[in-house]
Amino acid sequence: MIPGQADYMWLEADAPGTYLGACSEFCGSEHAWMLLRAVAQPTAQFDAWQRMQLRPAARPSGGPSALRRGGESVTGDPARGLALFAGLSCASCHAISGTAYQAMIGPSLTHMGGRQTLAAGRLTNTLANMEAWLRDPQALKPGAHMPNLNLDRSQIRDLTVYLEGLR
Amino acid sequence: MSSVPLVPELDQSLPALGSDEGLLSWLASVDHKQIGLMYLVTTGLFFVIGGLEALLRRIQLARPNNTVLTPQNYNQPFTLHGNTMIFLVVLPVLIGIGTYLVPLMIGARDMAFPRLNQMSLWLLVFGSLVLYYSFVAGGAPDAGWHAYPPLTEKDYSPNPGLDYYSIGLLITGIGTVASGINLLVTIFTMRTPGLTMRRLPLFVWMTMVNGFLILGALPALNASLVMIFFDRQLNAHFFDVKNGGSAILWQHYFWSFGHPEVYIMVLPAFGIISEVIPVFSRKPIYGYSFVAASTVAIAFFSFAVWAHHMFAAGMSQTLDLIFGGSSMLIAIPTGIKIFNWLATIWGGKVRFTTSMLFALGFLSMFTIGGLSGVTFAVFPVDWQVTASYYVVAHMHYVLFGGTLFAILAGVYYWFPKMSGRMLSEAWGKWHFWLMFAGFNLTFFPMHILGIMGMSRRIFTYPDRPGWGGLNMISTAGSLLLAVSVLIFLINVVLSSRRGPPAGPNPWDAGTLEWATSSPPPPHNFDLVPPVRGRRPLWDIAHPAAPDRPSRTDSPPTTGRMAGGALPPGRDADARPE
Repeated sequence: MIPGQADYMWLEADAPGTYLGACSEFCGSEHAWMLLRAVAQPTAQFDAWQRMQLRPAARPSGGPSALRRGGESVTGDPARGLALFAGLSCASCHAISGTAYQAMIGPSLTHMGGRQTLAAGRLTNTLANMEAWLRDPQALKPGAHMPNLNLDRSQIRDLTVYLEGLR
Repeated sequence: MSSVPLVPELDQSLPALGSDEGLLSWLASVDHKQIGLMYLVTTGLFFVIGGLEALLRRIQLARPNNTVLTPQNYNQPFTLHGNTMIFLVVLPVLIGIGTYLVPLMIGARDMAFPRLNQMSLWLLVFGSLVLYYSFVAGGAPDAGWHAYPPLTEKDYSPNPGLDYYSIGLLITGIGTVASGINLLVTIFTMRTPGLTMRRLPLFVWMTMVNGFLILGALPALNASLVMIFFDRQLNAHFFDVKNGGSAILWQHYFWSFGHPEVYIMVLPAFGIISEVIPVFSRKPIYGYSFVAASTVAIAFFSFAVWAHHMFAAGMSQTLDLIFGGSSMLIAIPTGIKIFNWLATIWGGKVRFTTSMLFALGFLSMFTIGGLSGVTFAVFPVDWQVTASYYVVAHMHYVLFGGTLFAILAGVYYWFPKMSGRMLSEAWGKWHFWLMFAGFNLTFFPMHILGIMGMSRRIFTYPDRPGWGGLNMISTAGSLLLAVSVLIFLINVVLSSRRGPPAGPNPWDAGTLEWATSSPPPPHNFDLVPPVRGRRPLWDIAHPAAPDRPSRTDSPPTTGRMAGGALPPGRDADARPE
C-alpha cells in the first residue's frame, strides 16, 4: 500500500476458511499488531454476508437490556450507548452508517458486533475484551490513535451493549 | 611527474607512530595507519553498541507476547541497529581497512590526500555522535534504517529522531564520498613502479571498484537525506502525498543508493577473501583476471537492480520483469568469484588458521545468503516473503556470515601487521566456532519464521504454532554470538599486549604490505622491493620460480607450489598445521 496510488492484488483461496495475514511494511509503533484475516466463503454465504454489511445499523431500542454472547453477559442501555457515542468524542473519528456520524479517521463501527477481532487483530472480539479496550486502549495498544477517554463503568457497559449489538 | 609534491609537508608534520604515544598524536594524525586504526576502533565500538541493541531485541522476542520492551523502546534500537551496523560499522570498517592497507599494498608512503583522509575519519565520528545524540534530544529515529515516508514525515514522526538521522548520516556520507575519492586517487597515482593494474593485489582492485561505487551511490543518499530534512524542517513536499509529493519517490532514490551500497559493503570483503584464501592455500589466486573483471561486472549491474527492493510497492509488470532479470544476472559474476575461490583452495596445502576458518565460513555462509537473495528476484516469491524474517535471515547471511566473517578473516590476517603481535590462535578457534554456531542458530530459524509469515520489525508476536520455539532458538544463538564477540575482544586486548612478536611476514605472504616491519614505520617502507609480478615477495624468495603475470593463472610446476598440481587428498603434506 502506497499513499496516493491504487494497487491491486489477486488472492485465490482453494478452500473456504480464514487465512491470516499481517502488515509487512513497518508502519509505526504498533506495527506488530496490525494483523488481518481474509475469510473465504462459498458464494451463497458470501452474498448473505455482503447483504448484511450493506444494511445500515439498527437504531437501538430504549431501556437497559442484557447482551448475552458466548458465555458472557453485559447489561447496559444501548440507546444511552449511542448518545455517548455521539456526545463523547467517538463520533469525531468513527462512522456508523444509518446515523449522522460519518467520520473516516478510525474504522467504521456499523457492524461492530459481527467482527472477529478488535483493534486490528490485537484481541478477539469478546464482550470482556471490548470493555477492556474501551477502558484503556493505550494499555492494550500503546501508541494507537484512540485515546483513553476515562469512561466510568456504566458508560463502558452502555457502549459495549450498543456496539456489540450492531451485527 | 608534476613538480608539485603529492604529499606536502608530511615529513615534518607527521608524528612518528609509536614514538609519541600521547592522545594528541592520534587526534592530530594524518598518517593513514593511525587513521586506519582509529577507523577500526570507532567501528569496533559501534559494533558492540549495535550488537547490544540487537541482543536487547532478541531478548524481547524470545517469547510470544513478551513485555520486556515497549513498542517505542523496541523501535528505536531496531532502527539504530540497522543504521549503526550499516553506516557506522560495515561501511566504514571496510574503508578503514582500505585506508590502512592500500598505501602499504601499493608501496606508497601514505594516501594521496592525507588531510582529506583525516577529515573523512572525523566526519564519521562526528556524524555518528550526531546520530546517537538523538537519544538525549528527545528520541532516537524509529522508522527503520531505510526510513520510508509517509512514516518519516513530520506528521507521523514528530520526535526529532529522524532529523538527527538525516543530518548524522549526511555528515558520515560526505566523509564516505571523500574516502572514495581519496582511495581512487591513491590507487591510480601512487603505485610503486612495476605495480601495473594487472599486478595489483585483488584487495586493492576491489577497493578501487568500490571507490567508483561510492562516487556513484553515496551522492544519491546524501541528496535524499537533504530532501527528507527539507520535508521535515522547511515544509518541502518531496515525499508528502497530501501536497502533491510522492512517497514512492523516496524508495526509488533510497534504493538507487541502497543496492550499490550492498556491494559497497561486500566488494572489499571479497577483496579480503581474495588475499586470505591464496595465502593459506599456498597457491596463487585461481583466475586473477576473472576475479578482477567480475568485480567490475558486479559494480556495473549493482546500479541496475535497485527496484528489486520494491516489488511489493506496486510497480508495473514490465519493471518487475526488468529488475527481476537484472537481479538474477548479478548472481553470475558473484558465482564466478565463488568458483574461483574454491578452485584456489582445490588442491592447495590448506593451513586452517583462524583467518582461513573465517574465510571458509564466509564462503559457505555468503553462498547461502546469495542463494536466498536470488529467490527474491523471482518476484512472486518476493511478494510472499517481502519484509518478513526471511529477508532478515537473508541479509544477515550476506552481511554477517558474509562481510563480517570476511572482515574477521582480515583482522586475524593483518592484526600481526598492524600491531606487531600475533593474535592467539587458541582463542581465535574458540571465537570462530562459537560465532559460527551462534550465527547459524540465530539466523537460520529466521528463514523458516519468515516463510511462516512473521513480519520483520515487530516488537512482539502472537503465540502461533512453532513461532515461540524458533524465536527462542534464535535468541539463544544471539547470546552465543555475544560470548564469541567477548572472546574476540579479550583476544585482541591480551594479544596486543602479550602476543608473540609477528615479524614482518608471519604468514609467508606475497604482497607488499608484508615487505616492511610490523607495525610499519611512519614512512611505511625503507625500501620498496622491485615489483615484477603479482606477488613480489614470492619472486624474491623464489628467484628460480617467479610469478610472472603471463603465468600466474596456471600454477607453476616447481617450488613449494608443486602440491597445487595434485588432486586433493593425494598430497601427503596437505594437512592442517
